[in-house]
Amino acid sequence: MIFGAVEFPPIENVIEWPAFFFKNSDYFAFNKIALIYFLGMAIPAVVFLLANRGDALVPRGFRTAAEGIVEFVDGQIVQAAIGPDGRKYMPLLTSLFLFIFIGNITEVIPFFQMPGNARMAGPLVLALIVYVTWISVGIKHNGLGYIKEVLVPPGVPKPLYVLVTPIEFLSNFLIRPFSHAVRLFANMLAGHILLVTFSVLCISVFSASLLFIVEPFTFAGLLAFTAFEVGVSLIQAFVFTILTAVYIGMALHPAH
Amino acid sequence: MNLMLVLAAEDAGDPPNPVIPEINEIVWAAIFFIALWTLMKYVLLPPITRAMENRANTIQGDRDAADAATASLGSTRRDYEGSLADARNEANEIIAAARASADERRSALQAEADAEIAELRRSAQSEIDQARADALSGMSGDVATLAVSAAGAVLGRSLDAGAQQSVIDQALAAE
Repeated sequence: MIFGAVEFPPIENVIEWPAFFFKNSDYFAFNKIALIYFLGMAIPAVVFLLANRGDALVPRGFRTAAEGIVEFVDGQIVQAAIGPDGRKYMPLLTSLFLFIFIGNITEVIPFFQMPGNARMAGPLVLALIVYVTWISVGIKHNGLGYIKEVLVPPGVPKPLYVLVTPIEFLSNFLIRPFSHAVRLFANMLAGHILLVTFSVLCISVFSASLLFIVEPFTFAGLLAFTAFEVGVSLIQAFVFTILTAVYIGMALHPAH
Repeated sequence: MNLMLVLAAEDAGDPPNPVIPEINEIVWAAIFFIALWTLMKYVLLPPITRAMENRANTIQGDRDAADAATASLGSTRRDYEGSLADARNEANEIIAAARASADERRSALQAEADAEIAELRRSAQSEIDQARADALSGMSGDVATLAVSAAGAVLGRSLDAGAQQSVIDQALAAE
């Protein structure tokens, strides 16, 4: 795709990833995105395994990192959104935070330079797992009445239920998982396209002699947006995880 | 297979839709995330949280022990200061009693000394008086003899000492 003198890569470059392994399998073709998801599992696992070998009384190195992550998830997400009851959801929330963060940060790591969550598969899977989880938590703690509690909220004048109940059904059971997934996916895809745009601009103006004078600005823009995307990676992981905690908290205490 | 192709919602010439997920990526995402969640729940997180809780409990225990020691130190200090105050009071009482006793003893000794001095003085005075009387009585014979002799020499005749004794005694008594 060419705009003026600048040639942008086609959208297929973001979508079609050739498989490294199981090339002929429809379900298990292992491509770069799958590798990123694998790292999203492997890196936290290795860090936590190494952390567990360290001195438990005086934490250093990996243990400091692991405990920092646990304290962050506990303090900023679990306690803030659920409260003391939420400790049992720490494994889910910690896994979500780390899996998403690693899936995002590959956007600025050489060789990868593609966020795994800029593909819909990861966010969709995570949003569906969260969707099943909070509905299960709601039914487990409040019985089947939980569904009624969500669809027919107390304190609303009865005639308004004609409007409120369909709206609650749509927002809670249909739109919520979709928005949960799309928020992450769209942010990461947009960030990736932004970095691609500035990278292409840098390369193009570097090769175009007349436009070379704007090279510092485009390069500065690329650096700035790269730093910005590091922040976005962290924030999006935090937002997805805290929304999960909020949904679980609402399922635990629907009256609140 | 690409879900996009399965769904076949678009014409063959249109660009691929980035929103439609790939089935293989869904599979791997689900496998790896569920693996991480399982590992986190049963293997990775429990030792970390247990160690953090143990450390927090140890720190809390040490802090409680320090608070107890501080409280105990305060109590010991209060006991010590109480004992010190008691000892000080007792010492003051002993000193006051000793001072009173010393004053009493001094007064008694002073009175005894005064009485002894008065007695000595009386005794000395009586001895002086006795010596004086003895001296006067011893001296009166000699004085009489001397006075009679002197008077005989003046008069040019011998005087009778016995006859003049009463006059000499009157003169001495008048002294």
